[in-house]
Amino acid sequence: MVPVAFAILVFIVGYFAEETRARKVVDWLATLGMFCTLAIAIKILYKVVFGGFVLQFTYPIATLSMLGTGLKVDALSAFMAVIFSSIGFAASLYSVRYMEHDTGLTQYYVLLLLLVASLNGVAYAADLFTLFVFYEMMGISSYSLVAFRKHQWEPVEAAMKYLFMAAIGSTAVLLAMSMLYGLTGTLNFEGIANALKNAEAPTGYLYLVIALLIGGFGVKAAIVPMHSWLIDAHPAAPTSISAMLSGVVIKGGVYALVRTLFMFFPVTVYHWDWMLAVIGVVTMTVANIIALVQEDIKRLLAYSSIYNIGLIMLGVSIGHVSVLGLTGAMFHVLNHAIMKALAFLCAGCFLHVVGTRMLSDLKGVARRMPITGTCFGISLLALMGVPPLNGFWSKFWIILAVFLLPDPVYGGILGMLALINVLLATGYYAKVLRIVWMDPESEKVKEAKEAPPEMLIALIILTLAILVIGVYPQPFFEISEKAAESVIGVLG
Amino acid sequence: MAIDLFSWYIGTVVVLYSIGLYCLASKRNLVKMVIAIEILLAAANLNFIVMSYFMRTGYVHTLAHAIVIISMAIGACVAAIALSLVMNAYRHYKTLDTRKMSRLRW
Repeated sequence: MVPVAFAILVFIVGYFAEETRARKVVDWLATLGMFCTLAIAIKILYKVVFGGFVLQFTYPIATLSMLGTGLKVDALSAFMAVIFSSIGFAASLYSVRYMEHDTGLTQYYVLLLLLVASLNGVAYAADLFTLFVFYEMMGISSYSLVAFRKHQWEPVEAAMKYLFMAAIGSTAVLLAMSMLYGLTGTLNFEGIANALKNAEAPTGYLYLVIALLIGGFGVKAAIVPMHSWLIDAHPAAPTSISAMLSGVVIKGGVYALVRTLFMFFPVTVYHWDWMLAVIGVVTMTVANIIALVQEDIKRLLAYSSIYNIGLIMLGVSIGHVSVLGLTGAMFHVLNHAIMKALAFLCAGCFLHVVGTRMLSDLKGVARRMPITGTCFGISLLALMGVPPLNGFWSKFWIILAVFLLPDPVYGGILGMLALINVLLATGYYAKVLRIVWMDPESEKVKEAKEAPPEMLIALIILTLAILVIGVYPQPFFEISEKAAESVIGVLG
Repeated sequence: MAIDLFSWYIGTVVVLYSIGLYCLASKRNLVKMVIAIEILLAAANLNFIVMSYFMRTGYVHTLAHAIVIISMAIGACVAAIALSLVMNAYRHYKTLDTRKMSRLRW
């Protein structure tokens, strides 16, 4: 029911956007729409976590009602929806000034709202088909948004690469869906889970399905063999879209992966955990090593997103034995969304004011733009995992959970690899910090002024979120724990 | 006999999917790559119908029909976006050859 309300909201806003000629009206209306979405998502989260409230929606059409429950909200989906909506709100607020020199803003905001609506749909979906429809909707709106500045070559080429890779991924997902449908006769999450629980031995088909699901959702989640779209799409997209992509769209892939794997395939039978662990470690290592040599600030942040996805995958892979691991992973999804969105938005401020993304031209820029610089510094410190900030807690919990695994050799090796990667990552974050704060100012930076206030509001909101979660992580941790338990509990 | 027919259909799906993947990997023309994606999607849709047909022999479940039709519509949207991007790429590069437009590396 709620995503339907979101959809109506989006259409109303889109309609208004087409009607009005006044540009600022469109912007603020879209931001208001995002705010309402966020408020509803928070309300649902509150009800689900503290009231045990279950929201369900079944399609009113006869054929589709055979799917069973179309949408169902549990703690994990409500938690994810809040993350998606909040980053959407920040991106929309930020775009009001950032995009002011572009044309076609109506389409931009309609696509942005559709992106957030479809992300919420992905989070709330209760059967594979609904998930697939929203997943594709998310894909379509994000391809268009990446290629939004279509008069330049870079966005078009990046969007093309993104589209081809993601389209292969979604056909793999569709194939996996059809096999699951053939094996179980239903597409409902609970129906499939029950049918597979009663099946005796795992057949070859089911392993194929697992491989297709990891491959298909992994493209959107940017795990390493399929990551190359991300590093092109993120720098090429408008900055607010980079923040959306990096903060939440790749999390959509992670969410879908967690939901399907944990619900359908018990780890004790199918043993996909070591595979995800290997993927996680490889993803982290490759991304970190390549990130060390990047010269482009947005590209560096894109690699850092891939590294964080690896860390989340590592947390997910141990979710079946330790709730702490999955809790840490979910908490890291929240934290990384905030930190990375903030880092991208600050980089966008530098780009907006200075007009370049190259680190060599951004020397000393933070001293010219103290507020943006401070926010950027805080986001990088949080990404590094400096204790009083939020990134520390989730990284700490994931790595602690890995070390506490019952098998000390497996846990020890994974934990050491993860720690090495955290240190490697600290290296390039520290390099960026040094460049923007300490190096002597370069030529282009000399005339830089502080960014406009609308942008700063978005930055300050996210910075405050980092500080609040960092200083007082208890309630957020509990919500993440509820979310993690809700997906593990299904199996038990 | 029914099992035999099933393996023929599944074989078709596998062949179609392989053709799509091969085409995507080997062709250097953007429009051909879009066609390859459509072939991949067709394979997946066909698999849906096949699975539904053999799950309860005799008829195709209406749910599978609904799903395949909607998924075809989604495929059309993706193709539309892909073709519009191809058009924009052609405007920038005056070619559809992917070897000449791979400026993005690392």
